[in-house]
Amino acid sequence: MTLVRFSNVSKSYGSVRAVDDLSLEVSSGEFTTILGPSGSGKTTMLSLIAGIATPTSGRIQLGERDITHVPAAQRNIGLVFQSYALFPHMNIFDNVAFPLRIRKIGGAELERRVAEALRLVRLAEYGRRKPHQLSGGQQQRVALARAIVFKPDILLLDEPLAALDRKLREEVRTEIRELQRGLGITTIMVTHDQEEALSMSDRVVLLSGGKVEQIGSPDEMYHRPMTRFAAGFLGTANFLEGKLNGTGDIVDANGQRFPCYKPAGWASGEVCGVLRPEDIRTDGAEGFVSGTVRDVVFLGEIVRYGVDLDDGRRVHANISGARGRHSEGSKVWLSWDPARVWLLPDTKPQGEPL
Amino acid sequence: MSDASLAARGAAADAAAPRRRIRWDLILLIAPLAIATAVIFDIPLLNTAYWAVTDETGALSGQYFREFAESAAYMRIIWRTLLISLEVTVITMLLGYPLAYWATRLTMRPRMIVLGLVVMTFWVSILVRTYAWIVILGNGGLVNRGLQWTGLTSKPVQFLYNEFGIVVGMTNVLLPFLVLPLFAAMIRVDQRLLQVAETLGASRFRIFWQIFFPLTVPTLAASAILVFILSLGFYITPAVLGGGRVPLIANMMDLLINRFARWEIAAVVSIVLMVITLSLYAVYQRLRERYQ
Ligand SMILES: Nc1ncnc2c1ncn2[C@@H]1O[C@H](COP(=O)(O)OP(=O)(O)OP(=O)(O)O)[C@@H](O)[C@H]1O
Ligand SMILES: [Mg+2]
Repeated sequence: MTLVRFSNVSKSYGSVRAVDDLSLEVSSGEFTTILGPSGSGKTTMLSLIAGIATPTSGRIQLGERDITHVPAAQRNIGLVFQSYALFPHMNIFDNVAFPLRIRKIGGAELERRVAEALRLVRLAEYGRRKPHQLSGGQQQRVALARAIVFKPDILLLDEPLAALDRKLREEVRTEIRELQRGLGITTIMVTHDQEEALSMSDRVVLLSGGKVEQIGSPDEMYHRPMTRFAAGFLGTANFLEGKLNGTGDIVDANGQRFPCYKPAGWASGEVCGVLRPEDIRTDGAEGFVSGTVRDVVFLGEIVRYGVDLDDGRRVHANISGARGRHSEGSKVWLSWDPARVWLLPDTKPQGEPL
Repeated sequence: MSDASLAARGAAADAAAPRRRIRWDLILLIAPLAIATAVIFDIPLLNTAYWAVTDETGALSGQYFREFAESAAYMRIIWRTLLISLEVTVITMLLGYPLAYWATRLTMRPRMIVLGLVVMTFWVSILVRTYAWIVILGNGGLVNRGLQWTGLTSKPVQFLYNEFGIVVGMTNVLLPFLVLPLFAAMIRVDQRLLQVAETLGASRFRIFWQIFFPLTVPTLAASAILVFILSLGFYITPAVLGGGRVPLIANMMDLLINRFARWEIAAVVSIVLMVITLSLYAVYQRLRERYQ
């Protein structure tokens, strides 16, 4: 069931089009992440859903209800800002109780629901404290408790993990995900961290310049990107540019051949293939192309090699650490499964299929 | 012992040495200022205190305090001063808070104009501003002429030479001391707090009273105390706009010293005033520290 629907929504600030003619649907119960570089309109999109900003044009629906011009206070949407925005003059209990008191909930019911929400974020003992007496991660969780305590229809999270250190980030990440699954609440999270987007969401919306670049499951987004931008933004990508020939090779300007798997219905012509670093093997005595190792980056679980091909092109290959190491300057042969090369659909040549 | 720990000890000794050495250069640099401060500020103050607690022979005595406490006249003036200061403070708050709030709501250019007008009053002599009120509120002043022209009154209304005139004049002088800090505090309130409150379902009324107002109350209280303290020492405004009929503490001191040469009673009054002021100042500092 569609819960949020954007129909041709634009939002301009002066001459800046923060959100540009955007159409989008978010299904009920899903965890959606909005991913994109800085300034791509992610926060603006959340603000439009929350009602903090009104669109310059277009229509926003919540279920069957048109909420384009409904004030934020009447939308029943829980929002967590990147800065948490806890009320500094209230203690944790009162912060979480705030939306309930507005809804005329009091007495034992209030106590029970606040306690329940604080327990969910594992802060049951902290009700009497003031926000400044909590750590960043704890404040983050209070903001989360405050956003879910009134049972909103949607939960909106604006880069909720950005201010946390790596360890805490992974912890809260799992926590948010479990909380979302447990409550079954439709959640839209903004992030500019591709790892966060891939690991947490059912669906990823990739924004660029206020427009949707691609929407899909994390798996789709990673393995079947539609554009160069999408391929480069989610993970690292090697771009193989050249002419697609009839036998399933990409032949670049220097005549170097990169084997791929020619999809049915593709014509010959200039294309761009995407090859992920982890799909490249460097341990063969033979291979498709040869090159020299120029850069060795030890990343723990894997080692990333920067290999300069004989024609000067730089290719990245990730090799699991256990499989032996090449040193800088050594010659290697690169090979891969041709089926792992993904041809970007937006480079599909026009013309007669081969 | 390893080299490293030896080096560490050496460094520790180096660090400790300058602390034990007496810095004569520093003392010499500070001394003139310290002595000047003592001579200019502390000695007169101690002298005043000395006058207040001794009799003619120089023996310790509470006689002037007793005389002060038993005199209805002194007490009445002190009460009146406290009361007028309180009125001025309350009126300043009632006018200043909305004014500061309104300024935060304006766009950049109008806001600069409003704040500029408020700041400008600092540049005009307090004497000029006080006399300006005579032009406005006097019997032949703008307001009275306006009232008579519209036929609301037939005789001029007595605005000046009473408490009303003093309160108007003092409020005018003191308003910037409240408006400027309040404006600064209001502009600092995180807009996202207000937005998040809105998404949580709060009405504008509730957002103002439960979020915005409590966040600005510490500054409001601190500025109000400052205004109150400043009111206690006003001299020119009550002298001019009160026409000598409504003396406040400062005017009374003037009379005691320049007319009656009662230095000892004046000393007692100063001490009382100072105690009140310092206690309030302590509260003011406490509020400022807590919330800034
Ligand atoms: N209140 C505003 N006034 C003017 N311009 C704005 C405003 N809010 C956003 N913009 C502009 O709109 C564009 C999108 O901003 P937005 O905050 O949505 O980006 P974002 O994707 O959230 O970026 P980030 O990852 O840095 O948070 C930017 O170019 C920004 O400068
Ligand atoms: Mg943002």
